[in-house]
Amino acid sequence: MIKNQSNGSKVSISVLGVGVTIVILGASLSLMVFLYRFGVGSQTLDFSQLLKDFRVGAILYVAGQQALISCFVSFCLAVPISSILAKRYYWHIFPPLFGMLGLVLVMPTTVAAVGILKVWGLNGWLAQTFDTISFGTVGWVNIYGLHGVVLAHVFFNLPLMIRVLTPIFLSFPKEHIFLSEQYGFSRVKFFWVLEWPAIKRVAFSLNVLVFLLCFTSFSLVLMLGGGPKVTTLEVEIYSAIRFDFSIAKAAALSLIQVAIVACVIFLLTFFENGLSNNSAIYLPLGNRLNQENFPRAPLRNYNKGFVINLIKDISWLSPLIFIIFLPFFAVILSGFSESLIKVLKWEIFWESLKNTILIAFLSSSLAISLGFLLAYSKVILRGSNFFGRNFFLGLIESSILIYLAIPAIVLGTALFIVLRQFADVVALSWLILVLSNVFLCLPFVVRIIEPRLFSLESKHKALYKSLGLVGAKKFFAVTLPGLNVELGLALGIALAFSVGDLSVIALFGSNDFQTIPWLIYQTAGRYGLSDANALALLLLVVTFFFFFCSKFLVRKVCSISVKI
Amino acid sequence: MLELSDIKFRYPKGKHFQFSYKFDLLTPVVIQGASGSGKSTLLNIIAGLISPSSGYLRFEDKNLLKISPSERPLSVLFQSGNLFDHISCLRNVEIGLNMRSRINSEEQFIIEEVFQNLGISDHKNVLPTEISGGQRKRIALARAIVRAKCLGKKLMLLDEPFNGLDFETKSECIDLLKDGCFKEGYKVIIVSHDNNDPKLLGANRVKLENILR
Repeated sequence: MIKNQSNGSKVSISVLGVGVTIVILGASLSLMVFLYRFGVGSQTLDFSQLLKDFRVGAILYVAGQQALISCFVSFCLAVPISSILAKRYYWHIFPPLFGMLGLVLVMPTTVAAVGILKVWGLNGWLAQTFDTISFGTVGWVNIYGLHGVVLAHVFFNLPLMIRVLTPIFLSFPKEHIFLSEQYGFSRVKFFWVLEWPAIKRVAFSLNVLVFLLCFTSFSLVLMLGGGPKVTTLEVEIYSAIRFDFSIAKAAALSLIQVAIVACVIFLLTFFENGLSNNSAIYLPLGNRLNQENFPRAPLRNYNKGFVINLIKDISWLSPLIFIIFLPFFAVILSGFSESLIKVLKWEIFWESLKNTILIAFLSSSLAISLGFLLAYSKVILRGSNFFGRNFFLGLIESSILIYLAIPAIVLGTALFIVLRQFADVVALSWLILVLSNVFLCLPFVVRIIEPRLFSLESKHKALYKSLGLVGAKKFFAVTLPGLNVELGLALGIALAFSVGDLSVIALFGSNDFQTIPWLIYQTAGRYGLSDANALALLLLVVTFFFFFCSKFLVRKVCSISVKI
Repeated sequence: MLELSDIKFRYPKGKHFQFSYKFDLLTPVVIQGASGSGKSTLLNIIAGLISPSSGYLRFEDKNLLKISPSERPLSVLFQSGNLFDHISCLRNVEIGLNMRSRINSEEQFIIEEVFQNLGISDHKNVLPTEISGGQRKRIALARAIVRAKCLGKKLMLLDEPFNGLDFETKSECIDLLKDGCFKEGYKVIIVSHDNNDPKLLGANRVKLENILR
């Protein structure tokens, strides 16, 4: 009886999960068909001409170039920095430093852009310092353009890579570190014998993911690209809708974007079993470090080059200061100004804040519910052995990763084209925003929840049966409390991402409907940098507040759930 | 002679140890003690893999504490993790010999000989993950012996070398140790929790409590 009841609820969940998956994939496919009809099939635009158009080629070249450079710079810096952080893990500064790198990942892009401008801009801290040192004889590099875009991408990608690579370096068996000490390995030898074999599996996927993120980048390129010279397809889609009012062009560019990204994902799947199997790259925010078994740096007493090595290590860490920490603190410091009070008195600020929070809560609740359902369905399917198991697992996986193939701007454009035929698109813009946020958060939510859920389900299988724990009773008494850390983290990430998103809102934002990221972008564009700084600080505070509070909220819910 | 004099070591937020003892090392020594009592810590200090806060460690009139681990006249066999799993067994042995891993003919001969003596010649080109635990132990032992022979390391530190081995494999390893190390004149310190090991190895038993201060 118990067995039947248990199996029944499992079948229902997996059927529901597969059903949702089919809806997501079906809707995505339909949107692509619409894009095709409006882009390729449009009578106002010759698609083949558009492909031959020099501008499209130039956009792809520039987008690819900045993505490649960003990727290369991030990886070249991330490997030695991660290695040094792993080697010097016992420094007291390590835990806060590693934690801060995690916070950077949930920082809204608009806020980061403001911080980068404050430090690296023409009137920024570094320009002023350089001007003083050189007595005004040498000018500072204009941050707008390729430099700025690469810098901003490195700002986000470097912490991501470090948070992926450092735990790998920390997970070496201590005996291997001891052996390398005994053999007297140089740094280079240590890298080739130990570090490279450990990271090479993840390096390819990680770099492709970072390349895709940079290639499809929108808000950073919009704010720091400095015009049409440095752009991406997403920015061009935005321009086509917002300035050229050419739906056909936007649809055609969206299709090109989807085709390219789909090709890259296909290649990755072909060569590396895809991004999906490399869950490590989705968990840079939630990585727990395995420091307990890691040996203390053994050469501290008799290494002749101890001081030199220390200086070398610290100098390798200096990019973190200039690229990440200075802009981070610049947001905080420059935000505290007279403008802060001024901004707090704006009616539009409170209106935007209300919109931002409402959308964030809706998006994250949906993302968590959907993510849980899909993760649970995957876990059930993985534990089963029926014939179509792998096919359905693949389907669910594709729906989770749909955001990579159809980025927010493309999704927004497609929904815009479809919905405008039936309803007032501007009035429905909140819905489009919520949907795009849900798909943005979905891969992270599933990747965080799934491993723990799988362990909870498989580890206690026999115990559940013997205690007769099934259905809702099991969910509230065991599953939910067991997932409290993971759900807290997933909710925090979903909230932070949703609060800070500036993509779809750029298409639909108006005087009647704004969010804080959109307000920052508009304010900064109107030469109100001081006001933008204050808004950036406020958005940062809101983001971090939600990120941290979600853990406590989930813990509270779970503690109540146990008693039900 | 290996002399430990007032060697102090404290794990971060953990146990504190103080060692003092003189090993004559004319015969192999088996150190015995309870789990967590500091046997591996002692070996790691002698090997230079962890640094004591104070004390003196002398081997053949040299203060080992001033010498880096790779330059110390000793070869170590750990309880586990002796081999890099992604490198073939042969490369695992070669990689410990010199920085460039270029093996000269004399070293090549020694490696061949040790592999043959230990009965692991067939496993040269396979990965450690593809062989059994006992075979991995032999490869690790081969590495320690080759390193000792080729680089003139006179002292061998073996941390639970027979842990996880079945009786038959253990007996084989003991014979190999006797032939490959004891008869060759290497000074050997073995950490073991098995009370029969000193007898089986024909070694002196030293209780850790006699070394701890």
